[in-house]
Parts: sequence; structure tokens; C-alpha cells
Amino acid sequence: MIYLDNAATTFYKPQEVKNAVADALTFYSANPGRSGHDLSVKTAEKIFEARERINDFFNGYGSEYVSFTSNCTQALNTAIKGVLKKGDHVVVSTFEHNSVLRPLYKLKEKGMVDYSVFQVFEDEEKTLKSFRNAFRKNTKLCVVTSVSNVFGNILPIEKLSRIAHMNNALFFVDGAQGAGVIPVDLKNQKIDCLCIPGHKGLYGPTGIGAIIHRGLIFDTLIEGGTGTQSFLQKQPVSYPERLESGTLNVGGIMGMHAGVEWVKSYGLDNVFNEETLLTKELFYGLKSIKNVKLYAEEYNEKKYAPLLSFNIKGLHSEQVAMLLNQGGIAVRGGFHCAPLAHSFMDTKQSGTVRISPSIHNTKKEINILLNLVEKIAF
Amino acid sequence: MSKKGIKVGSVTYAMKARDLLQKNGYKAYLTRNPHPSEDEGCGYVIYVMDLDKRCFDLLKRNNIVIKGTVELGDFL
Repeated sequence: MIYLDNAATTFYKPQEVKNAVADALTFYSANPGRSGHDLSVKTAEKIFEARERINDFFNGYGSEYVSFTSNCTQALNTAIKGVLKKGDHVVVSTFEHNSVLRPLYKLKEKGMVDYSVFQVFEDEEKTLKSFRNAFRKNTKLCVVTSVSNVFGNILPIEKLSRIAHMNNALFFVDGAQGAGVIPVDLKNQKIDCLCIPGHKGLYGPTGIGAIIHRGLIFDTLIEGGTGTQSFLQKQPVSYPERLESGTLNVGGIMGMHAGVEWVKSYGLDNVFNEETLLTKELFYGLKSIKNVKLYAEEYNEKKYAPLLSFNIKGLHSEQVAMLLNQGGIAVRGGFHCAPLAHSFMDTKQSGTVRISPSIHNTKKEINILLNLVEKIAF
Repeated sequence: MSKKGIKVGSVTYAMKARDLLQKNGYKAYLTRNPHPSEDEGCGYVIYVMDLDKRCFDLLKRNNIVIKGTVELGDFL
């Protein structure tokens, strides 16, 4: 099968990641941070090492501010619900995923918060203007995706965070599509909190994510055993344990760490450049096929991460995805859990077919895809 | 000779503290607090050979909260 659905999860995983998960199950199966015996401490060392390296990779504020979660969605829920109080206002982009929109919608339904949506344009100045106009006096928080999971737009994180902070709002980033593909840097981009999955651009296993922040005080979603202060009835305040009740996913963490090391050794620039080359080839190949609709005039690697959406006239995106699957090509059709993106880009009726290559894909595979799309679109 | 451990709480802070002290030339080791009180709960301590005031200053300068010291005695 030709796998071009890496925005959903990367496949194939590097051998180093598989080895790390196997090692976790074989050698590091004790419970870290709970006991004093050598096996527990040995496992805890691996977790600590993972925190340190992930903190370094994203230029964070200290390994204690890297807390592991089950995925990016849990990290976002923790972050968003952890800082908002009744009466707060939130600003989000039109490209946000339901992992941001649904928690906010629930809070809005309960009468807790309200939110405004700013639009993202090819013209950056228009985006920034839309962002500025979304603020209110009670805006507490902005949550912005680093990359649209549907159309690939790279949002101008640094400029948005500057505007957010000028308005005394916190600035959180959903790094689901950006982590491991484009530079994401907490300190230099002035990101207050970054939420990431381990299993997409970081090539780690599913079932692991992280919330990485600058030492904010989060109210907790989950309370439980942390291996510390057992007689304290309240959840302890110190990180990272405050956001990590229960036994950690050691295999997931070690796998995520191995993925980060793999991306570092491959080179973030190399990942981006190679995937961009394939996506650019795909874009212009699709552009030349009759009845194919794309959602940009030209492919600009400064504005787009290596993933794109298209449609074929007269067919729903799910039908196209099914036909491609029959032809041995794995892609995603439909609405990608990003309803506002489809409203904004006028793709609510058809959804879109999303293609997201990884560094494991080849030019030959892109050509096979293009040939099949041409047959379908004819 | 007294063997004192610096109480730092969770295993994450214990490892941070240990690494910091080792980078600064101290022989530091991590172990469990053998005498946790009801107030502090379970936790980890750092045993430092040739413990001196500079160890405490170093940890405080690097935002590691010191929760006191504990006599490690024969547990180490």
C-alpha cells in the first residue's frame, strides 16, 4: 500500500522507535517515580531523559514543564480547561481542530466562556488584522494551530503571539501538525503552552502526547496518585506530576523520545525539504489534471507545510478516498475534524481529499497517485 | 560520619538536582526518603558526598525547591 495519510499518523515508524518501545517492555517495565528500588529508578531515568530531550527540542522552560498525556487532544483539553474561568473570552483560528473547538464549545454551552474565530488568509497582513479584531477586553487566551491539518497553512506563530501578549492574553499552540515538520520554539516564539502528539511528525507510537509550558498554573482535569505527598488531599502543585496522575505510558514516552532523536538526527530541515519536494510535485501534477480542484493558486513552501487537500468535480471526497484505497493508496477523505476550515474554504459539501507524505514516500509513489487521480477524474 | 540527604520531592526534581550537582563536580546520588513524614509524603532525596552550603545555594539558584534534609544513616 502507498501510505499518504501521515497527517493522521506517521507510518512507517523508524526502527529506533520500535526498539525503544520493545526496550520499554523488556527492560523498563517497573513503575517510575513510585518506588526506590533499582528497577523503578532505572525506568524513571528513561522518563527523565525523555523530558529533558523533548524540552530541548522545543526550546522549553525546563524538563519539569514537560508533562506526558495520552495524546495531543488530552494535552489541549488539559491546557484549555486548566486556565479558563467563568467570563473569559478565547480567540481561535478558522483552521482549528475539534480538539480545540469542542472543549471550547462545551465551556460555552455551560455559560462559562465565549470565543471568537479569526480568519487565516494567504495574505499575512489580512490574517493579523483579523486576529487583532477578534480580541475583547476579557480575552484571556488564544489557541492557534501551527499548521492547518486540512489545507497545510502555516500560521505566523511569532507575530500572533506578540499580538496576543500585547493584549494580555495567553498564547497556546496546537502543535499536532507542526511538531517534527517545522521549527516550533517555545522561548523564541513566545509560546506559553504547546500541545503535541508523539505519533505524527515525531514518528513515535500512538497513545502518547505532551503538554509543554512555561510554568503556568493549570487547574487539573484529572486528579490521582502522583507518587508524591500521599497525605495531601488536593492534587500536588509541582510539575510535572501535577498533570500526570496514574502510571505513565513508559513505552509511549520512550518511543516518543526515540522519535524526537530520530527527527533531530535526520534533520528538521531535511524532513521539511524532502516532504515539501514531494508535495510541490503533487500540487503541480494535480493542477494539470482536468476536473481537479486545489485550494491555492501556487505552492508556496514558506506558507504551506507539506500536506494538501484537493477535490474531484462531481465526487465526494470520501468516494475519491475509497477509489484511491482500491487502487492501493491510503489517504483521508471527509472533514478531518476541522469544521470551521471547511466552512471557511467552502468545502462543507464535499469535504476534501487530504494527501500528507512523509520522508518515507517517493516521487514514484506520487506519480502513481497522480496517474490514478487522472483516471478517476476523467 | 553523618550521611544527610537533601529532600527535593518528586523523582523529576531529584534527577534534575543530581545532574546539576554532578555537573558542578559533586558526587551526588538519588535515593528514596527513608523517613517521610505524613506532611511531606513519599519522595526522593539526593545524597551528596562532601555536602556543603554551596550545594544548597546551587540548587536554589536553579529553582529546585529544597524541602529540608534527612539523615540517611544505614539506608545508604
